[in-house]
Amino acid sequence: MISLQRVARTFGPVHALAGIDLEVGEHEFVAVIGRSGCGKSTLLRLIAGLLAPTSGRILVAGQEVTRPRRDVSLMFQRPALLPWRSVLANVLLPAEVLGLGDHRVRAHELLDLVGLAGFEKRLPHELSGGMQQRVSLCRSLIQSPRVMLMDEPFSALDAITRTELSEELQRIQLEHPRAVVFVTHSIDEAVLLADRIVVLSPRPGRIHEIVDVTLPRPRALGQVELDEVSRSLRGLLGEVTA
Amino acid sequence: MRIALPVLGMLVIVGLWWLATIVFGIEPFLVPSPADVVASFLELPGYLLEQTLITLWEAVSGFGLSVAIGVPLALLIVGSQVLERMFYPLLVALNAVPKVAIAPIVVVWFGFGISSKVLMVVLVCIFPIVVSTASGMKSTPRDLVELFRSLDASRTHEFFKLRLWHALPQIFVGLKLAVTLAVIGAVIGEFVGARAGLGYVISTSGASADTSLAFAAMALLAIISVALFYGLTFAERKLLPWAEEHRDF
Ligand SMILES: Nc1ncnc2c1ncn2[C@@H]1O[C@H](COP(=O)(O)OP(=O)(O)OP(=O)(O)O)[C@@H](O)[C@H]1O
Ligand SMILES: [Mg+2]
Repeated sequence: MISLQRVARTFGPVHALAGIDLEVGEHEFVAVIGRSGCGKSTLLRLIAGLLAPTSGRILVAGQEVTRPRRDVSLMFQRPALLPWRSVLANVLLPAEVLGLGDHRVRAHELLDLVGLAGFEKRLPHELSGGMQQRVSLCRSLIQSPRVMLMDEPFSALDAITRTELSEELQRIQLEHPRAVVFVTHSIDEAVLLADRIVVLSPRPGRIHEIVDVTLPRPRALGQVELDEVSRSLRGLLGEVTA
Repeated sequence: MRIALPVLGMLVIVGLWWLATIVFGIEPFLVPSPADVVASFLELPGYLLEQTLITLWEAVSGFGLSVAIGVPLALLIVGSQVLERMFYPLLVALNAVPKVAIAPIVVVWFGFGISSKVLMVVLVCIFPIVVSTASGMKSTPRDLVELFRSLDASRTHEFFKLRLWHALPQIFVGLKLAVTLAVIGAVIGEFVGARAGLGYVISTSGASADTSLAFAAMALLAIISVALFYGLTFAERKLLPWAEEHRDF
């Protein structure tokens, strides 16, 4: 579904990413970890078509990415909700901007799915951080994207909410698999969710290692089998930081 | 409490003022006591209310005109770098000119009637409105802009579904500043050349040393300003219930 071929991106003198080769399958969940500043957000912006690569090619669904695509959705660290819109209107925003027609039924279903039924008319500031991020998740699902790009979506949340949301995301991905690129700083989160984990090394950002996670699903945080993968990843990240 | 405290503050100040006029035996033509001021309002209540309405109307119509011109102007400036480079310095220069200095010219051009006052109001009001709108339109958080870009939103969508909405609380800051300036602008116009309005009352009563009348007119001006300011604050609360964090002014 996503194909990066010898992708590099520089910002002036800064080599943010270099020589990135990566294929992400149609139903594959790929997590990206790496230390701060190694180009993870840049990678997502490139796939999203918000930035052009300095060299190399990026394909989504077999087409070269030259601008944002409507079947690719983006989710950020902050909920990035529009404070003047109700929860429902926020979820409907992509459908409205993309001209997709009436998606209200689907929006209600999605809000139901993340446990926000009954909150449709509320304004974002009336919700907790976790609830806001759930709304943001619904918004990134409303356009039925084939590709979801998530930039540390749970890292601003407290540990409990974070666990809940990553388990919800796992459930959503099991029920309706998509191509997902999920940037995170949390090794445990990566191991819980990902089919493959890309470890980036910094300056310039390169793929240091790709780890396959073949454990059966659904997985649960704290499962002993996950710990083993986590430990080897910690080792890999140690190499990268050293 | 929200109403009681300001009222109490007013009463304290008026009380001290009264006390001072009695204790120091100040002549009424220098500083009239609150009772003198009320008395001189009661001598001519109809006349003074009529002048109040005239000044209010000048301020409100000039303010309305400023919003009608200023907001679209700011949108144009934000929308086009060329326009911004062309006109923004000019606007800053216009604002730097002391309005009191322009007032006589404005009166020469537009006469003693209402139009010269309205123009004065526009001249003082438009700058804060343009600046607050333009800076509000430019302060949209990066992730919201990226969200719209990632949806391949048109510029029109980005402007009217995102930037303008996001700018509204900041626009209101400019409006509240402008509305109090509007009253000042109207009075400047009336000072320089008019046959009516509270500014005219003040300048003529100064000439005849009727200080109490001047004070009564000034009190009415203060009441107009406060009413306009809080009217806007109220409108903002009703219209922008979501804009909590900006509401400290
Ligand atoms: N728009 C830009 N202009 C200039 N430099 C940029 C820009 N975006 C990113 N960079 C640089 O590219 C590098 C990678 O940045 P990026 O935001 O992709 O890192 P990251 O891995 O997402 O970091 P973090 O984990 O802190 O979010 C950094 O050195 C950053 O300073
Ligand atoms: Mg980042």
